[in-house]
Amino acid sequence: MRRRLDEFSKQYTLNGKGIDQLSETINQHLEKIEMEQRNRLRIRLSFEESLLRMRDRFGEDAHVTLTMGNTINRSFMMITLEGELFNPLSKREVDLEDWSGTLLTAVGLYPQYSYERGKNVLRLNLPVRKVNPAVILLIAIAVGILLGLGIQMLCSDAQMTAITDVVLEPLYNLWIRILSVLSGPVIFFMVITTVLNTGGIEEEGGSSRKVISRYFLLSGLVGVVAIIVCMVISRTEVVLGQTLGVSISQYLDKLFHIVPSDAFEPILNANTPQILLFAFVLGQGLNIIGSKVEGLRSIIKQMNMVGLLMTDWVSRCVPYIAGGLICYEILWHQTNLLTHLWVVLLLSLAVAFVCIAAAVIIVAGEKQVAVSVLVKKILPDFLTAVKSGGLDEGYGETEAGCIHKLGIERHYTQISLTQGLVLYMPINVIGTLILTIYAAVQFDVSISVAWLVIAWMLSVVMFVATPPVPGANLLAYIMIFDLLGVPDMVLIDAMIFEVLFGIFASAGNQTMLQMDMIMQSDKIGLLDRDQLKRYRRNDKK
Amino acid sequence: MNITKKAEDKKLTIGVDGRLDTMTAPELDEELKASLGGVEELVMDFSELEYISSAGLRVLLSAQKTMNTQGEMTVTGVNDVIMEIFEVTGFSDILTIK
Repeated sequence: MRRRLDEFSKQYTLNGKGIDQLSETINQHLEKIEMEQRNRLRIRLSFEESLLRMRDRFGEDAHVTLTMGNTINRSFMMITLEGELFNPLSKREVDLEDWSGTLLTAVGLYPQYSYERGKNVLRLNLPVRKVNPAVILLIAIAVGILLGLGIQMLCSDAQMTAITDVVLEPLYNLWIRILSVLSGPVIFFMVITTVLNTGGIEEEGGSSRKVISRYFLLSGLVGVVAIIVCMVISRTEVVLGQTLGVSISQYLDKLFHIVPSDAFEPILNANTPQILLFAFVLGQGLNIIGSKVEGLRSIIKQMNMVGLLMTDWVSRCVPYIAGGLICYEILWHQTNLLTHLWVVLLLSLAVAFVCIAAAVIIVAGEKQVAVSVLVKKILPDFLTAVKSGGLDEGYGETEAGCIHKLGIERHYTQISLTQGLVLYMPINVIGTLILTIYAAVQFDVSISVAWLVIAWMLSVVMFVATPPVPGANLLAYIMIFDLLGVPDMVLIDAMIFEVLFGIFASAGNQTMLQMDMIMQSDKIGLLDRDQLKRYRRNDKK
Repeated sequence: MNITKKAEDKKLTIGVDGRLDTMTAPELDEELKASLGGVEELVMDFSELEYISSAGLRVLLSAQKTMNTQGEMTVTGVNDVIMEIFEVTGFSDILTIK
């Protein structure tokens, strides 16, 4: 979505002509702001259904007013009808299926009903217009660098120390404390919820164990590629010999301390392996017991929603905090990783590109479809994800693309796409490993084989277990860095890297998932091979 | 909207062209209610259909429920626009689309 809705207000009669005109008006206004076709349809049909229910109640002579407009940060559309209290959203047709109930909620839109001064009001807030986070971040980085260099040039040492000590260091410490306090409980509830949700795969007739194992395996595989390439390019020396044993013992000791001494230790000490194990065991237990503990499952999912909200707040703060902290890095002369960040970014992009290309070539070869045809089919979805900086905006198009262009069966697509986008993030694993290794090199952290194995395992586990939310990724970083002895200072660079690489990573994860879905759906006879091979002109759309 | 009807024994084919919206849906509803008696196979030919609104979907659902008790109903000639509507509303799971 690019623009705001035009201000609009008009009264319509609740007869067939009026409802059709109102529906068409909604469609035209949403088209103007470039809303995706499927979401337009959802909104239009949902309003039509509500109007039909209002007509059933108030008759064809009643009038409704359609109002469209904007508040500070979002657009809204609203219909009002004067008369006795009647909520069209709660009315269930006795004879017909309530097919419209999930039309909007399925894409995260929630119409709200209220009764105000004798009027029934149905309001729908449209999604907040998201500016690509990279744009905000680039501005923040530029401001931070200019500020840092400006202070260095214009201020005396004493003044610089004062600015650092009074303003920037407390800001840095506050930010690290916020991330630290959130990381334990938020990751804990995210992991349990992920385990609970994978139970849903089995309810749909699939094998959650197989799906998760495959995601671990494939993410692990690209992680190994990332480590090898990074070690070769950065010419990093790995500590071997006598220290290997000591190193393994140190890390294994940390790892074997996986069983906590009490139920609160994992979260109180933010012990990553303990949190992951505790959450996994608890989640599996709840899955086994099933509906008998529905109340607890529900509470955990609600806690996770609170956690997700907090991670959303964290991710929103990132660009603004980043500017200040870059200034701090410059004044504190700790820019060694920041100046190498472009190398980390380029290397991560290159490795990610090679892995995606390899996946596409393998799938094309296996399914005997021309690579160029496959690329043409997946490229539009990939570009939409890159352009919007996320997966929400183009979800409907991606889903339709999987069904109509790639020939994957619809029901399978709906289940696998939803689950996969949350669980399968191999491209993030690549970026995290490369950044962590580069950070370790820049801050003279000793890299041993055991260190690499732990880094690899943590990256894979973290990105399968946590959802694709920028704030959640940042919390995962703090846990990984803590266990691997990487200084907290790297989090500033991780914040910048995460936003910049995250844009490509979301699109890359989606493509890797599409390739996996082609392979898996074919195995169980849910792939239309002819449709996959066939290329039509409108596949470009 | 134009409705065409072709009856062969217990099979009825109904073609709908144009827009099946709130204004025109009652016409199809009445036509179906009047014609479905004794029909065991209903074919809805949508090859010329341009748009189907919520009211049109209600009619389809009602016809489907009727045919569930007396035979079968299939929808044919569905173009991309109509298919998209069926998909977002979940009607593609309810209807037999050929």
